[in-house]
Amino acid sequence: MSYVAIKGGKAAIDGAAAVTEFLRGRDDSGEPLNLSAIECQLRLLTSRVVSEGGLYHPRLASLAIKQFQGDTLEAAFALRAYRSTKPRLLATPVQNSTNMRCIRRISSAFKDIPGGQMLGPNYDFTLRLLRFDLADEDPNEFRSIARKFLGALPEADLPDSFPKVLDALRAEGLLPPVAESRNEPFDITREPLVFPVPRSAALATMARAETGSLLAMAYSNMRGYGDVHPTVAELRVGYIPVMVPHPVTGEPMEAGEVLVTECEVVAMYESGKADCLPTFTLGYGACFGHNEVKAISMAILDRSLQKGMQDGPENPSEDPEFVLLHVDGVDSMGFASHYKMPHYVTFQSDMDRLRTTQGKARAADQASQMEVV
Amino acid sequence: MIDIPRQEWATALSALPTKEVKAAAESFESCCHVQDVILPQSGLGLLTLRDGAFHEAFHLGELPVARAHVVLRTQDGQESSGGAVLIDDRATLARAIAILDGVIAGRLPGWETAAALVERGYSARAAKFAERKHILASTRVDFSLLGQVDEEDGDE
Amino acid sequence: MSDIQTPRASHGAWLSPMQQQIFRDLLHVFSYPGRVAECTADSMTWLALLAALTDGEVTLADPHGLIAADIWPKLEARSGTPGKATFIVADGGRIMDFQPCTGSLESPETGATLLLRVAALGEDLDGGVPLNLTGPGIQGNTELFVSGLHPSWLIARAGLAAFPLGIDLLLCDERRFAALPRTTHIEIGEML
Repeated sequence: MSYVAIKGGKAAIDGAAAVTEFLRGRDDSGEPLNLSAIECQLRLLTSRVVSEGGLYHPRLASLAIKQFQGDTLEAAFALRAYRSTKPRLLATPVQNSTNMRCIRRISSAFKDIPGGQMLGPNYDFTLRLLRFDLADEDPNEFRSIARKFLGALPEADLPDSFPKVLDALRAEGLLPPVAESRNEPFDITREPLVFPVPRSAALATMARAETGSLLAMAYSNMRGYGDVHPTVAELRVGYIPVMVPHPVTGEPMEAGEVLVTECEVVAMYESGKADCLPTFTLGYGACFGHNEVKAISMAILDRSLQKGMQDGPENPSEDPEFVLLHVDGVDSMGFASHYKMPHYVTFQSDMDRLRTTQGKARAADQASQMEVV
Repeated sequence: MIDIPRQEWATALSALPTKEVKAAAESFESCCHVQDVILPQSGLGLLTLRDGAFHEAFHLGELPVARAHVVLRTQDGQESSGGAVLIDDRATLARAIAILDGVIAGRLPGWETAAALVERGYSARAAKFAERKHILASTRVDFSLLGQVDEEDGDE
Repeated sequence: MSDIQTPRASHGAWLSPMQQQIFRDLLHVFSYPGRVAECTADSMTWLALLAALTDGEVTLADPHGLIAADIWPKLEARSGTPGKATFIVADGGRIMDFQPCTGSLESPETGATLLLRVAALGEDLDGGVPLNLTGPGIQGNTELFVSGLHPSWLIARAGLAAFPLGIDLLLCDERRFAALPRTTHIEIGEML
């Protein structure tokens, strides 16, 4: 690969920007997209961009979605570019997701989980039939949706947070012990991945990975190239309060909250090391925003990567280098897109070499025919 | 008196319209001297989370962070420190909240108006929390019904 | 009545426009070693430079105790030892009595930047010691006059230099500053 500087493209490039803007502005509705509409009505799209951009800024994520006309890869790229211009002021103390203010919490392992199961917002039980009434929605109807929902409910008497399903299993001795390591977590925004990497690097990489890439890798394990066979011990969606030291008192204060999806899977048990009893194995996935497929995929890959790190990879999804270096959307789309850049000189040289080789082959062919004659 | 713990003042104030918070802080600036201990700044914070499986710490991603730390001195020599860290882009808002934080913590003259703001913000947040509980309450699964109708789990 | 919203000249060094200007001037003086830039911030030059350069990511050493306690939080830099810090601020009139970090071959950029307070500085200065400078960024050679700089700094600088390893100096007087990057060769002349 190499590039050549070309002159004369400036007018065309300026024109391309104008054309792209023209296609956005040609909307017959005459209404520019409002950021709040993107953030609320396309909340899952916004979620995807905040998590893949690695920056919890739903407002800027919706701006990026608007600016890049719905391209999630480009929108995440724009968020990454934005974050790179900002100073790092702090790293938070370790936050505990047990404090999550849930809007959804389910388990496919037990019916009766402590605190109960709450489906929250989801499409799991929805028929995938198009709702044609949404195509021409009455604005007044739309405005009454929230009011009607909130008005129809009695005061809810529920706790502020819920215990983790895994903690109950751990108390019964069915899970491996928690990690002893108190190492500083790996910072993927500052350090390159040089393998082997600690698990904290794998988790951070997958947390900002591209959803589709992560899903494809995890699916390969689910479908045949691997044997994690997970059970979702708990899947929760909600707001984690971010606690940081108060500048004056040093005591924890709430700086705000972030929407997070979290998934813990329990997988096939493993015979214990030395004189320990066998226990289930575990996988963990989490990401900014509401994105369940991503959190589940990550949890499965966390489990498969642990296996690969311990026993050596037998399948692609167990190979840390294969998984972690190929799931980042900004990396992979950048590489794919760069092939559009002019490679005129390298290609010219490829053609020269091919012609020379063809010429030599023809000459050799003629020579051998002459020998036959 | 203010019953809300100091750790929640900042988020309570963030729940109110920014203009109102800034106007309140400005009114205190006109009657006491405000000195910045650190410069009000906005930037990023790295969010560190404990993983749910093995309780290892890792970085989930980054957040916008604004922070400020001020010392307030009244004309009659009373002194109080205030601070704020917000998940927000606006250093000016963090500074305004830090001023109100210092005013309430030091019970500086007029602190009651700042405390009333905190209480209003707190109620606004409570409304948001109530919404989430409605979401949970209306989608709570009642497995006891399943047990009565059929003994089988029926989960496959 | 606040430092930030009604900027006074004395606090200019903490405001973004001044910091941007200083950073631009720093690029200029590092590009042209020996050239002198004016510092228009109404605070000590070395402090204005630090205000523009440091944040929570860097370490700063202050072996001669030049930085007042209430300034440290504003600089945000973590306090470090002179042997390890990224930035060191010191009184150039005193003898150099520590060994700064010169970086590693893999990361020569971690070599320390020293901000030295000197009495006076100029491209033409009565009573100053002329430093004859050659190297990248200097056409032929140039002279920088300094007073109030103990020669031990320049001797140590030369002793530590094994390019790309080395240290970079920023000389600061009341109102001006000049850079002596590690690539510059210095010959100390006779005082005029």
